[in-house]
Amino acid sequence: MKALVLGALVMAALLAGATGASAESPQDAANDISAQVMSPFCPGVTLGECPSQEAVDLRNRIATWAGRGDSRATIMNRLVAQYGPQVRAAPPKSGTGLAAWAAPAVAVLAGASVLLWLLVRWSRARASGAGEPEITEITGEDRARLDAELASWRAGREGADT
Amino acid sequence: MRSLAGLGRPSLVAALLLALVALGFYIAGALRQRDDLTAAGRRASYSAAGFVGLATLALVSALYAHDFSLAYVTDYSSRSLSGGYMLSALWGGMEGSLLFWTLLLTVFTAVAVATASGRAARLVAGAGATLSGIAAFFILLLLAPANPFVRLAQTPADGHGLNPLLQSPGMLIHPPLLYTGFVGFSIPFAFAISALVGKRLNDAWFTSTRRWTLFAWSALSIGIVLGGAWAYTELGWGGYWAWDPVENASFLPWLTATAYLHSVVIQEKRRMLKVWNVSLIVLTYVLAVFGTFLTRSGILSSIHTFSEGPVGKWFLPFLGIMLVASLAVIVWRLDSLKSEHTLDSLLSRESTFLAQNILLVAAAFTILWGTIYPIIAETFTGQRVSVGPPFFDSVFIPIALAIVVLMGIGPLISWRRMSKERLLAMARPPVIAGAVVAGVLAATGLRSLGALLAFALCAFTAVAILGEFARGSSGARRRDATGWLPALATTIARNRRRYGGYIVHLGVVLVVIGIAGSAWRTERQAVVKPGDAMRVGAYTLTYANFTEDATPEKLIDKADIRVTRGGSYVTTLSPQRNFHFAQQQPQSEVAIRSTPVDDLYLVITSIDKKGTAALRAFINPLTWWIWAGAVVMASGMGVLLTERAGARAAAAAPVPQRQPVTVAK
Repeated sequence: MKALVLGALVMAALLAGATGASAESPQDAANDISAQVMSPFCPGVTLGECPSQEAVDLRNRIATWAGRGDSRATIMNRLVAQYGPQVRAAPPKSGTGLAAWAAPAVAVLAGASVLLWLLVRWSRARASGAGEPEITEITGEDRARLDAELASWRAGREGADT
Repeated sequence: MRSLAGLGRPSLVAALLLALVALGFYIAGALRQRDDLTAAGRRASYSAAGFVGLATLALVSALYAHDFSLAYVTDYSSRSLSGGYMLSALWGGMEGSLLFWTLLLTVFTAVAVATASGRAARLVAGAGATLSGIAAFFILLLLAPANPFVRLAQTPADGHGLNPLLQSPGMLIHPPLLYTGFVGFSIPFAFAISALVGKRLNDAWFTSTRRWTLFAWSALSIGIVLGGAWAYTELGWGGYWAWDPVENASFLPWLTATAYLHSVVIQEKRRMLKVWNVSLIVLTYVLAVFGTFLTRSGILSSIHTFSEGPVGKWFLPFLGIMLVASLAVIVWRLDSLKSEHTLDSLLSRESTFLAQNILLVAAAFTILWGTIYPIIAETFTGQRVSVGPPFFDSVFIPIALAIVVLMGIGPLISWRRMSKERLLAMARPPVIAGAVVAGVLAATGLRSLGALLAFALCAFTAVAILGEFARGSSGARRRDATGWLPALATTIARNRRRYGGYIVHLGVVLVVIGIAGSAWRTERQAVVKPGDAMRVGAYTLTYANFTEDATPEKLIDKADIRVTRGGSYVTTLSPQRNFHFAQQQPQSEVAIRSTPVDDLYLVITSIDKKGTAALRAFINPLTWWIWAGAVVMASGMGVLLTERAGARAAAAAPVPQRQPVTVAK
């Protein structure tokens, strides 16, 4: 148990320490920004994924802007001014764009709530014995019917698969 | 080869009539409980499949005979198109791919209704009616808005040729596998609907179609991976998954089908989650058709727009009717779908399956939401927005990593209940493995939290699964007094469902490792001329030679790039920039050196007559493991699909109840 907790703590500490970015070159910055904007030249793909020459030229321009010290926000604003808000590859996390981001979290929370509700319900059913099969006596007629159903079930099971 | 195009439309008319006749017989057979009427429906289904097969043969013959009097043949083939790719022209365009879809549907229907036996035979009438109705819709599409046999007023001398992107070996397999997956789900869907309508809600509908579900899921899984491989080797952007709407559309039914394959085990073993399981299979099939709708409607901007067409408005009502009718039938039968048991403990395999199901469905919802959000946002706000990889990566990766954790906990935990102490003892080696991997990677400088977490969790899950193999093999080794390998083989062979599933999970772990490797991805681009050199990561790329060549199809500009590392020669890669005459379109051919450590990926985005080229170079670490993982997954699927009927029944045997029913004597 101690080893397990220690292992988990070590893992958590290492993961928590895994932050911070080293200094990046203008081309690395351009690559990163290119992954955050949709290509104005290829439908449905980011600038980084677009194989056209126009995309290459735009990536080079972004690298030039990054090289002269423009911040990411400045470069992004410039791209939005030139190509429209849809050039951002993800909706903003504010205003109407918030709905895009909130829905997945709501879905996971709703799913977790349903799971929790089921667990509580089942746990109560177990406590009251309602979830367990009823212990009951059956008549001779029921017994004969049960035997016939079981025989039919066994016969059917042998060739049940398509 | 002689063109049989003249047979195409009459065959489709005959197929439509036969599908409607089959529908009528099946409904009459179900209502009157008469096997002879159902048998007549079966025969009509066989005939319908035969006529759709004839129509497909007619189109294939027209392609191979260069019958350019057909608009489809002119639009998607040319005289210079090589033989293999001529076949891929069948699914290269909207009309042909819908014909291929319909062929699969009618053939699968014929096989399913012919082979259903035992208790499943009682579901044939309802399932046949459902499948015949769907087939009639698709044949109607082929006769009206998506007719592949439309004649041109004047026959051109040559065709426009197949899109160069589709002229790839992967395209011979990727679309047929995706369609096999999509269409394959129609069989469990139809049997579920039959069980609901006929109120035969025992386990026959899902046990009898288990192999169909696995088959469809396997085909879709391999199809999706091959799609990624195609994107990687053909599209020239150095990646394999772009969260494109059409990619997402293939992923959505895969996620819900994966959830279904797991949750149906709980129904088999515990008679629980009945509403959930029928809902999942309905959702899976609706999403499969939705995928086709997305591809064909052109409603969303996509790199797959080469096959969009005018059938979108036909699909929407069809989808709506299918969804509403299915949900109505489920609500109608809610009383018969009550769980017979309850969950015994939070610490049980059932709970991990439930949690995993919720995560898979949440992932499907998330991706669906992101895919259609641009339409919703534009409808309600009038603003055009994009939802691309940054969004999907942010919302999907945490869910995916949680699923990886559950894949690791699953093998450690038993059905019904387990003590906390026992679970913690079982979890010790995997947790230590995860911590060690995270420590080593952090010490070597990896600073991406997501990647570190992914590698640590993959180690945790892999050790948990391998431990299960070791425990099973150890028992078999003692019992049979044999070596480790024969014991492993015996262990897998004796419980194919369990170990086949674990092999698939190991494959998923490898795929996740391959994806997480992108944390070390490096990209460089430069304009180079022969003799120039550039560096990318530890590699030096020297532009050694430029050559021009031509074939009847294309002009080829090739750059030979000499690759060295630390002064030592590694290889020579030759990316190309080609110009296709038929389409008047340039196309890049990438060059890749792939190893388990990293891929060196080169693509030319432009090149002039002197050979001056815009060269993009990527180092994609660990990508090789994605394809290796897919092979491992495929082998696990093979193990699952070869499970024998008797073994299936044993694997599906309910878990004994704590308080069994006692019968008074």
